Amino acid sequence: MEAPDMNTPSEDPLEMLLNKNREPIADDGFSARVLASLPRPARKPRMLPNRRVIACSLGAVIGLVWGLMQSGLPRSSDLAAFVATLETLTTRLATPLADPTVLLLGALVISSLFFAYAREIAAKLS
Amino acid sequence: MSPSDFELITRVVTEDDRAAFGELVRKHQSAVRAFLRQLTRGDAAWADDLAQESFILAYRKLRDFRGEAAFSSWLLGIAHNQFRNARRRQREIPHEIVPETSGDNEPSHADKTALHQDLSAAMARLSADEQTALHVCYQQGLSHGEAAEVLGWPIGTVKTHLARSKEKLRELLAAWKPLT
Repeated sequence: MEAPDMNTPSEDPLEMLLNKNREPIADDGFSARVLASLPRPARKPRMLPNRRVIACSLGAVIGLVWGLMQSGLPRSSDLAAFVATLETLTTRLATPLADPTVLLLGALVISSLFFAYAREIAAKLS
Repeated sequence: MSPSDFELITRVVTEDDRAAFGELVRKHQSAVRAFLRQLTRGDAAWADDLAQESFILAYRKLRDFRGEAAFSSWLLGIAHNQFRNARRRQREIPHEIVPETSGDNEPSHADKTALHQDLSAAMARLSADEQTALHVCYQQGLSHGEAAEVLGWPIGTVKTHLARSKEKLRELLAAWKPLT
């Protein structure tokens, strides 16, 4: 004979007896012992985001200064030539920006970055 | 109103809320410890050690809980695995001495306490798997499907063990008038 599923009420006296035979076990400090044995929570990184940004910016500035020192700083006599080069470079860089595709891609990058850091930006503004 | 298991689990997973996990332990400790006491054949100290390990493992794996089964069933599954691993390590289960019942199964008391005592004695004469099947389905109140999942047995095996164990209990308790 197939045993009936236990979720259905039964009139069988044996099954009724088995169902009645439930006595809960008192906690007696068991839960406290479990909580005391749980692994320690992971420590959060000490460096705050602001400090990280400062450290990165400082590193970038030092790197830039170091690079300029290695390549030789522009002298006053070279200043006109340097400005002219800078002008040419700026023009060359600005030309592709007139292309709508590049503008669209730029907008996409900016919106993606904004989406990724929206929470951080909102937290900063609030 | 106490928060549901789902709410407590969410708090543990998202905020590492240990108080919420403590609440889960308090809610389910009795079922898990009773189940393990059944598996260890009444060795309360060993059962409690296994229960503690089971809850710690559950805490670590809580992110993997998908909510497809009831949390209590998921916990019992972990407890059963802990027991099997421990038994594999120990290679043998410490067996409790089975209490001898009077040869002719005559009831010595007519009250309910005596009936429960005789029921316990009769259950001790069942095989370990039969006792486990009875415990999971009656004391824990799981369905056959849930019991099969927790124990890792085919559902047919659960049903067979239940049918056999009840048949044996009926024979052992036959002298009790209300059961005949």
